[in-house]
Amino acid sequence: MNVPAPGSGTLEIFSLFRDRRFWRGPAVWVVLLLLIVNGAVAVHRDIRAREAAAAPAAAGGRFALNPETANRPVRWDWSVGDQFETFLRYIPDSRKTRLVILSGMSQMYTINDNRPGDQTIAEWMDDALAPRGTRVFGLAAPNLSHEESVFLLLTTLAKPETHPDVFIFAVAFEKLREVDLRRQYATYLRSHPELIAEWLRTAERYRAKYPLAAAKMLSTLEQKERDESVNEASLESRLRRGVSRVSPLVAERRDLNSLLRIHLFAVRNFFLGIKNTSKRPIIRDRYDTNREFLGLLADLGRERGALVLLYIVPFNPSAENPYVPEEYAAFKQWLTQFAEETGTPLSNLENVVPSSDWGLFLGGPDFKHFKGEGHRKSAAALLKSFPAQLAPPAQTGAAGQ
Amino acid sequence: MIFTSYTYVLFLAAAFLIHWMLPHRARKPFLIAASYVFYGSWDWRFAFLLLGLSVFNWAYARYVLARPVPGRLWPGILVNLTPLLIFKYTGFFYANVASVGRAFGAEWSAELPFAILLPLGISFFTFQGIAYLIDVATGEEPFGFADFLLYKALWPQLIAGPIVRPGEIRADIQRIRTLDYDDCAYGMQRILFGFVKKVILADSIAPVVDSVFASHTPNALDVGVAIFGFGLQIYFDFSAYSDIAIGSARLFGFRFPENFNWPYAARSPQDFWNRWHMTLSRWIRDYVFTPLAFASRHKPKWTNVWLLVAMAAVGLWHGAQWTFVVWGIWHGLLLVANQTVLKRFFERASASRMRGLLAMIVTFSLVMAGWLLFRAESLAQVADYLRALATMRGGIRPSTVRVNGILLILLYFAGLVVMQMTRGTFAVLAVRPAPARVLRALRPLGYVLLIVAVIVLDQEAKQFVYFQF
Repeated sequence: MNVPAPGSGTLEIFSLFRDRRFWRGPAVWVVLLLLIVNGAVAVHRDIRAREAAAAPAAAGGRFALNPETANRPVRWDWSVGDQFETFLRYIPDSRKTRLVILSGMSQMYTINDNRPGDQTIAEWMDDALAPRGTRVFGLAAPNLSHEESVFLLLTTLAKPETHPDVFIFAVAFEKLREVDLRRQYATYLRSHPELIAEWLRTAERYRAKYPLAAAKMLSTLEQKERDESVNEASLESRLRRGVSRVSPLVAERRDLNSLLRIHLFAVRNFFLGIKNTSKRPIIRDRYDTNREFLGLLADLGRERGALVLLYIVPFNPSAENPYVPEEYAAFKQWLTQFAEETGTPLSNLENVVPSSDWGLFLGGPDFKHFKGEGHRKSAAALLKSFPAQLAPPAQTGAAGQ
Repeated sequence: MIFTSYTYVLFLAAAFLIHWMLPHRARKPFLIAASYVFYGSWDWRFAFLLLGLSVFNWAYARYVLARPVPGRLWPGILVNLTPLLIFKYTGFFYANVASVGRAFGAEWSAELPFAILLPLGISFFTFQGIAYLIDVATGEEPFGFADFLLYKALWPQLIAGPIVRPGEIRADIQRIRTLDYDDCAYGMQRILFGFVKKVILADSIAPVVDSVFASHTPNALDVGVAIFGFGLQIYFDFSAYSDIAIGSARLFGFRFPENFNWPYAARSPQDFWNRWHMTLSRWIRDYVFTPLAFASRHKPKWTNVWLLVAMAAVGLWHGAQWTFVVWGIWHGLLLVANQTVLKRFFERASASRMRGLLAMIVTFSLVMAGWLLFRAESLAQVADYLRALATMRGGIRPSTVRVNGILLILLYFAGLVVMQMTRGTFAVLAVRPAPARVLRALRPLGYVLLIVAVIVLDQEAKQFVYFQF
């Protein structure tokens, strides 16, 4: 065995830099290329930031992401879940006012051909109901799953200041293909032990009645427990935030990830001839799980003093939709029966927005998102559908006019 | 501290810098300390278990050497196995006793009334400790105390292998290791490949597979996709771990044995186990199967029985569940068949390309079928899934997986097949001057693309499948 001389080998690390192979090898190029990539991402970020800064002039400040600096009242989570915790603070205090939470998917906040003065459904409803002492706040996110709607209800129920009197959930048939809790919501769940306890209690309590939903809730928790970075307080999360501050690539990784996925989907669609109107049949297990979540949502609301209202979202009558007609019809029939059996108020708004109020998507009529006028009409239809639960007909205000 | 986390990257970078700045004599204590920090980052209490077992094994090996009496090894092996039995198998043992008790009318709960935390990597460092005692008793020179602490705790192999045996690492532990550019370059490359396999491949398949195994009524297509997907996921996941372990060790001048060698290109079950989790296969062969077969060397027919026993032990080592035991027995049966009824079929694999391809497809299919046992939560689930496959439940319509999941798995499989088929060609090209120049020039770009892909596609640091063992 070799016996090292005292002190020998100290600062040997520098011998690496004296090695010619180091300078001729890929390491230097890799560092340089990574710097270039980071620079490119930083430029891309700046361009997007400039575009976002220009947007308020046209869209009334909707896209100024920071609610602190927004020049309009915060009446919905316009980070669409990304800064969920921040936006929760803007929910009107339900100890002082009657509170309606409006939740659903991207239709709730996307405005095609956005023009000054356009507002989302939540804003129109708030305008109409605020004078009568009822405030409306929107909590929506793209492709919101039914498990996420349960999460939103449990989250708002957890604190007296966000406890809703009414919880409206927009039911979109194709969202019964979605399951799981997105990272942002999972992060919030993980950092709130009392919510975790409530989540667990709910899963345990409803295990017999809603076995699929309960099992999904438990597995969601189990999965998130295993993911280090979900815990915001962990060293891993702090480290990621720290690296984000010095590396634009790391800072923008989630946006780049979304961008990459969109392009991958485009490639997939090109090769397989998939269009946004291609038929998407139900996926049985997901479908059944989501139906159970709907039941759980209604039960939870009833139990905890928040009236759950459901409505079938509008869709574009002139656009092809991806629903299999028989499946969609069967779903509506089931939903109607479910509403009757559980005493959950339900309204079908699928035809309230005429073709002229929808925008374009991928070169064809958008079947899911409408223009500003569609939002106004949807809000008016909601106020008309649930007058007793939201406000008397005479008090529907601006949106109803 | 999961290998693909930012925390580990920081830990590795800091350890690398400090290690190579320290004088030689301080490096070993530093690596021991760093290894305990790494292990303690999960649960500091179990660091004492590791330390206790390390001290015991070091002292007991010397004791055995000083008094070489037959049978003296057994108490040492038993002491090593005790924590494993307590932490890993108490619940399993209790559940089985309780179910027998309930069958006779006793009102015993199906689960232990208290929770037992499983120390991470216990299966791996238990095997390592036993191997050390046996090797020393059979002539291997014992380690000095510090060398043994390092051998036992060296973090890249601590949690999920490779199961490094004393003879495989002795030279690296005892020599004065110097910083070598080639070692660093190779280590970094292996780590990057490990990140790619884990973050981009394994973690993207995991949700597809998990969704099926979490669902109650999967159709035949779901089950097929899930089994196939899990076969790919576990390969990418575990070989990724091994890549990062081997790469991390190389940065400090340690050469670990390989753990994988294109296992899905195997042309027989025996060939598969020479390519899959190679360090475990060798361990079981040398410390379980060979002694048993040697003891009954006058009864050759018993060899197949020992093969089944050894493979059942492999299964049980993976987890305290009957599904793992049956998975081990399944592979035992395949190995027995490999030596008996299917011997000629697999032997002829080298006769022609077509025969080779056929043998590869048969081996791949049999191994894939076994993954259902490995991934399922219970034998009842296995039975249900087999029923779904046998009755073609749901036809070709999935009940859980989405088309994207199926496409993703098929895409990865196609990539793996292409890489398996072209790896020989690449090896030849890499040594020819002109293509080698092109490859050298493109390498930095390739690395950067992979790094960017890892950063962008990594959402969370997800645990490795083998951490549960």
